[in-house]
Amino acid sequence: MLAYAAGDAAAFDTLYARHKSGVYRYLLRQCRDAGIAEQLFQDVWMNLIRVRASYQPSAKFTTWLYTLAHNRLIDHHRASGRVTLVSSDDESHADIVAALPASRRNEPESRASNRELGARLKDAVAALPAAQRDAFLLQQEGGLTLEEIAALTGVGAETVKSRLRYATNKLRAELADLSPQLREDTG
Amino acid sequence: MNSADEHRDPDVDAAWRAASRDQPPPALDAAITAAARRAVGAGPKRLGAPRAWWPVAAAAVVAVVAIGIVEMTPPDEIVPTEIAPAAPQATPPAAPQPPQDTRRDERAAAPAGASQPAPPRIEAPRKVERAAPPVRADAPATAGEATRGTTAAEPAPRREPAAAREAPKPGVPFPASPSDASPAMNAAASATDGLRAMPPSPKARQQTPPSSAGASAPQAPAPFAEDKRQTTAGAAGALAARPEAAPASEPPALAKRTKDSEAVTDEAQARTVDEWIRRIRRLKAEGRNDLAAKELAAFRARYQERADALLPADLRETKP
Repeated sequence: MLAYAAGDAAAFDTLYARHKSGVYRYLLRQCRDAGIAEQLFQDVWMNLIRVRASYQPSAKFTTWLYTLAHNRLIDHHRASGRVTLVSSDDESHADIVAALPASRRNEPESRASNRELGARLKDAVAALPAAQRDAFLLQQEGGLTLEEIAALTGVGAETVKSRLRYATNKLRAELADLSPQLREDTG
Repeated sequence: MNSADEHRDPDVDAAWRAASRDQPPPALDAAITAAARRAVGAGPKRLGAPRAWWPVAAAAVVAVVAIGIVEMTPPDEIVPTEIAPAAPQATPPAAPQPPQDTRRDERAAAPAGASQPAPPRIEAPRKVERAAPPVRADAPATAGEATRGTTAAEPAPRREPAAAREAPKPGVPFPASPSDASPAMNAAASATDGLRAMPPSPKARQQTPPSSAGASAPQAPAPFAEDKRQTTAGAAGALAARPEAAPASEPPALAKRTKDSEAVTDEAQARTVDEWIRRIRRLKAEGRNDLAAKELAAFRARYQERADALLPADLRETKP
C-alpha cells in the first residue's frame, strides 16, 4: 500500500488481486444482494484510492481494508434504514438468537430437497445474527485474528470470541446431518 | 494456534471455502484498476491533460514576443507615420501644411541651388501660402494675443493672425511687405538662409499682388537668425536702416520679443520632428541653452503627450 501511495500503480494491482475476492464476498454475504455488493465493493476500493496518501502502516493492511469495507457497510445499512450488527450474540441474548429464523434444519422440505452444500452453508451464514455473521466473515474472508476483529468492530475481544463461538456452533449444527457428505466433499 | 483459531471448526471452514467462491465482475475489476492508475498518474489520460494548456501557452509566448518587438523598436522609426496624420490637426483648415514628403523632396533639391548667395528655405512658398489674405483678414485682432503668442504652448492657428496683425504695424523693424523693402533689405533677408521667418521667395513675390502686401507681410525672423544676419555684410546695411523704421511709441523689447516668438512659432509649425531635434541639439551645442529650452518647450507644446516618445533620450531628460 505504501508503494501504491508513492505512485506505484503495479502495487495496487497486487493488492487488489490479493484482497478483492475476500472483500467482495464479505460485502456480498452481508448485504445479500449482488448489485448492492458490487456498488459497495467499488466504493470501498475508490475510497482506498482516495485516501491512499493518508494511509499509515500502524496496522495490517488487511485490517485497514476491512475497516473501510465494514464502515461502508454500516453506512449502507444506515442509509437503507436497517438495524445492523445488533450485538445479539451475548449470553444474555440467547433467547433472541434462538428466535431468529436462522436455521432451516428442522424444515423437512429443505432437508428433503437435498440442497447443495454450498447453498445450505450460505443460507446458514445469512441466517446468522448480523454481529456474528460479521465476525465470522471477517475471520473467514479477511483472515483477521480475534483481536483484529475486536479492534475493527469496536468491541472487546471477549465479545468477538463469543460471537464467533455462537456462529460456529450454529453452522456446525446446520451442517451436522451433512457431515459425512461435507467431509467427503472437502476431503 | 491463536485465540481466534480456538473457535474454528475445520469442517465449517472447509465447507465455507468450498461454498464461497464468488468473485467480483471483471468489468468492476477493470474499472477499479483503471481508476487506481489514473489516480497515481500512470493512466493514458494523464498525458492529455498538459496538452490542453499548449494553445494558451503558445498564445502567451506570441504576445510576449510581439510586445518585446514593439518595445525594442526605436521611437524614431515610428515618427513619420505618427506625425503625418497629426500635423493637419494642429494647423488651421485654411492653411493646410504640405505633406512632409514634399518638404523633404524640396529640401533634397535645395543643394542644387547652392551657388546662389542665399539658398532659400523650402518653407518659403508655404509661408506665402499661409499668409493668404482671407485667413489673416478674418482673424480677430486683440492686443493681448500678440503677447500671448510669446508662449510656445499657444496653438498654431491663433499665432498666425497675430503675426499678420503685427506685420503692418509701424513698430515692426522690418518693412511691412517685400515691395516696401529696399534691395539691401531683400538681400539681407535672403542671406539669412531661411533661419529668419520666411521671406517670400521671388517666385512667391511674383504671385503675390502688391495690393495684398499688407496682409501677406513676411514673418518676423527667428532670434538666432538675427545673429547670423549681423554677421552678413548685406544684412548689416539693412539693419542700419532699421532704427529709422522703428517707432518710438512701442518698446523695442516688446517688439523684439513678439517678433521672436512669432518666428519661433511659425518655424516650429513647419518643422519636422527631425529638424526640431537637430535644431535643439545644435542650439545646445552652441551653448544657447535658453533658446534650446525654448525650442524644447515649443516642441513639447506642439506634440504634448507624444513629445516624450518622439524626443531622443538625451533631450527627453532636459526639462524646459
